[in-house]
Amino acid sequence: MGNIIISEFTKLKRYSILWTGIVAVFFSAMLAVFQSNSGGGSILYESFYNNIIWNNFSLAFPFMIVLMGGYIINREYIDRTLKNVLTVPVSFRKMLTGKLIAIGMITVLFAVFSFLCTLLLAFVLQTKGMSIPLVVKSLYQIVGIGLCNYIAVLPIITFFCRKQNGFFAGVGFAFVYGFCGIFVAGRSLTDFYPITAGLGIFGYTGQGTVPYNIAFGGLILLVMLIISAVLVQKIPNYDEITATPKKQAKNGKSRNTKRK
Amino acid sequence: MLDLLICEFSKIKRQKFIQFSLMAAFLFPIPLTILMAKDRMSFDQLFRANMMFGELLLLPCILGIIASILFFMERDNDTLKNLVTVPVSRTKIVLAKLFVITILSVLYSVAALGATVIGGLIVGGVEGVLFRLGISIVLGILIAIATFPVVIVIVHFNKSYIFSIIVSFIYAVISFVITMMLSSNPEMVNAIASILPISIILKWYLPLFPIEDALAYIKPYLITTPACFGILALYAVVSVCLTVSIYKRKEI
Repeated sequence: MGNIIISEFTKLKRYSILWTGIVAVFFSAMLAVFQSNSGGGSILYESFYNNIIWNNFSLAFPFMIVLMGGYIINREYIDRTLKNVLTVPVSFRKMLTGKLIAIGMITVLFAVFSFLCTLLLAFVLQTKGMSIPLVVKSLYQIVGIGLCNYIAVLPIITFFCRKQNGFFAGVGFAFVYGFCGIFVAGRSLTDFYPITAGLGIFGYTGQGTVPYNIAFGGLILLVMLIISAVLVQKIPNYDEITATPKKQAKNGKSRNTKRK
Repeated sequence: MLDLLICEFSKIKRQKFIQFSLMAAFLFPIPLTILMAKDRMSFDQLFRANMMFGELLLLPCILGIIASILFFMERDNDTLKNLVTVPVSRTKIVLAKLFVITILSVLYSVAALGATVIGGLIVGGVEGVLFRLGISIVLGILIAIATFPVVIVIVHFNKSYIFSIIVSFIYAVISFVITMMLSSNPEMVNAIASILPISIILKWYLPLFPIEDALAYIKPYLITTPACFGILALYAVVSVCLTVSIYKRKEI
């Protein structure tokens, strides 16, 4: 498994898809600058990084994680490398698990990048109330909630990777799924919705004094992990994944017969 | 031209994403209906919320991806040379593809209205369905035109699907954020909101229905139907001309 994860990172160096993450994270941070400035007056560091967390879970992270995850898996279909990997032999299930773990690690790296953007912009904006404990807390919350977002979208990546280019639909779905977090956050449903479940677990303070049910939030994310594990377990065999659809095969056959 | 349109529709029958995209019209109405029912909101508010999130935010993203599928189809299958040999002018190919985008946008918009009406039956007080149907059709056309600038970028750069997705989402989100800020702080963003097509559509849409007192401050910033249609017609003409010009310069 370690080798699979390492090889994923080696391959990742060649993918321009990483720019998607950089753009998404930076965009989320710039949006927070815009939001924080719209009120006028001085900006508090806590409210600034809370805005970034808000934009991360509602706009950037679900979309970015599914897009990058789906792309990394889809490359095996496009580059026709699935048959080579199977010859090694590494089962599709094992390879998928390795890729999912790698995507989790990439999410953490992007969350750290989001934190660095927060820190840099906080200095540029000269935000008030910055202290070392608060900076450490912001790192802990940004990374933690980012990781929870990853767990929340894990079933989407796993479900839409069964077909070549299926992840395009997954990206659209993840975007709406993340955005709906805005409607849910701040209500009594925060802990029940997978995208916002991490807010309570990591003590997000951007919603005032909303009481969280941390145990329920954790349970929801555990359910998402179980669903993902079941989906990975139920993933079809290599033959079924790469086989030509029956209808298409039939059309191809009849066309060949006509030529003869 | 009609033959080209039929041909484009025959080709997209094989594209699962395009069929799937019409189902996306139901994505926002479901959670919004639950929330509106919980907060006892009116059908007007449900219709406006679905329009804002489903059409102003999600539809441009979807249309951007559809545009990339339609325009990259000829490149990926090496069929542009065949079409030019027939001969079919590239202007007609571009117009046919833009028409398909507009028709799909209208279908999405009508499907979203269907989902809103179903939601309205739950919330209570469904009214003016025919008027809303007309508005939805016009909205579909306007949103398609508002997405044409993204089509220019997609055709010009002629890169991967990922690039097109990113461009479409960034355009949709930036437009949406500015449109949202227009309703919270109109003075601050009015200058840019008067240029952005998505914001112009909201400025036209809002006075069509009674505005709550809480939103009365936005009234001076709203625009009339001729102004909105005029600006978007200009967008359409410029976008079509630019797309045709770029597409003509493409190597086969």
